[in-house]
Amino acid sequence: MEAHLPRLWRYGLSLSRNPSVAEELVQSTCVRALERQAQFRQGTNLRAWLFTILSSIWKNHLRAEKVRTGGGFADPETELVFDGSDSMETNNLFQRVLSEVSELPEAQRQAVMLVYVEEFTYREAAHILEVPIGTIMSRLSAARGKLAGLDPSATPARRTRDGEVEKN
Amino acid sequence: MSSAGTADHPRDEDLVAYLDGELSLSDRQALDQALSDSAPLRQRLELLRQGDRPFRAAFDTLLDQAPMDRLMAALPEPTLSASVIATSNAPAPRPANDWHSIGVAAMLLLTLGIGFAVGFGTSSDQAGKREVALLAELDEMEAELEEAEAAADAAPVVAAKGWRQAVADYQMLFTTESLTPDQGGAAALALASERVGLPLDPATRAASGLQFRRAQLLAFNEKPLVQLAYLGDDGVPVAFCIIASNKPEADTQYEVRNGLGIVHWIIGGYGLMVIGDLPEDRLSRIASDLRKSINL
Repeated sequence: MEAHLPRLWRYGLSLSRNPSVAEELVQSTCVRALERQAQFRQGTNLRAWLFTILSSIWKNHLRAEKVRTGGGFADPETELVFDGSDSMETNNLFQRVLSEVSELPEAQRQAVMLVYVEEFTYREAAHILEVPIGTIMSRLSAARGKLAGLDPSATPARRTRDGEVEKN
Repeated sequence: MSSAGTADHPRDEDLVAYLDGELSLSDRQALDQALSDSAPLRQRLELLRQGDRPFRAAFDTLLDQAPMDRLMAALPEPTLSASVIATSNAPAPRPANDWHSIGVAAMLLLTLGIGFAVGFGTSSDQAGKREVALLAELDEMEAELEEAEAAADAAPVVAAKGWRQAVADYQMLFTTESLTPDQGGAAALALASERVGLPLDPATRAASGLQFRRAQLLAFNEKPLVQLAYLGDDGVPVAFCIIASNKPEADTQYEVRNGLGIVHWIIGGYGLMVIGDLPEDRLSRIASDLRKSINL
């Protein structure tokens, strides 16, 4: 499980945009994974399973908690910018990509993280987020459109196959 | 991913799935055609392509910043069962990259008789491996990884994920339409039977609710891999695959790969698997029927 910690933390960070919340998410994920290890099927994808747990915790618990306590988890001003390490400062392109992703709406950000960063298939990402594949497709399409500078109102399909309207 | 609307009126979702290599073979072909017919569609594709970024490379710069000491501290003291979880990670957690998947599938499709290989290292941490009752699954994965690593020197192309993963990647490309025309020639079946050294004819009519559609002789790690393709009554593609195996015999087990159910077992020097997007109980019944039909 250790090998997955940095990726889980990165995913938690992208969701919460808050390093301490990211740590909290990973810790809860570890605890729950061990509690539920009987449910893990040997031979299946452990990484996907851990991401599913983290997604679920984020969705069901922490977010509600932060909203209740006004923790400001979704402060849109908070970008994925870190302790000014040299590599970050010198790499403007990567920093820009982090900022752009950070500014995407949460649902799109989550899909981008799972499919483009973690390189899960659409089907795996849909399973992790417990949404239909059409929703993943719609979120990625909206994210790409936004990053390409397309005007959302001019985008032909704003509605996913399952009828969900993407929030921007 | 297959959608009736893909060919007629491709939406941004379809174009992005196309760019991401996530369309089924038939949808991809339909979209290729639509793109060649429509300049506005090609422009739209190019616009969406501009929304691509080096996402992975950018985010990989964050991995080193993970506060590992604190995250590790959150892990409970190692227990026997915790070790199982840790150990099950032995084959490096290479993401299920769609390029790799497509690569594996394409090679299975195209390189009859040519095995494929691999390109990633094992987890550096082999410690503690013996302290748990090693599951047959892990042994098998390790052996496959070693085989694959040996082959990697020659052709470091595709991530080794074992034969079942390769089959699962290939199976994802199948739709009902892939198997709608009956392609089951007796010659292919005879060749497959001969190469794998088993009479396969009974397996073509053994499982109730499945129509046999085609036999294909493929290869994995330079070993013949036979795929018998069926369509369920509900149009779900199902495959029964057989490969020679020197692994110890193992009873049927169920697993999920790429969202597809798999029942697999090892008997009489063969690894066998049934794969399809079906519930476990249905897949197990099919596997039981097919298992009886093969004289092992």
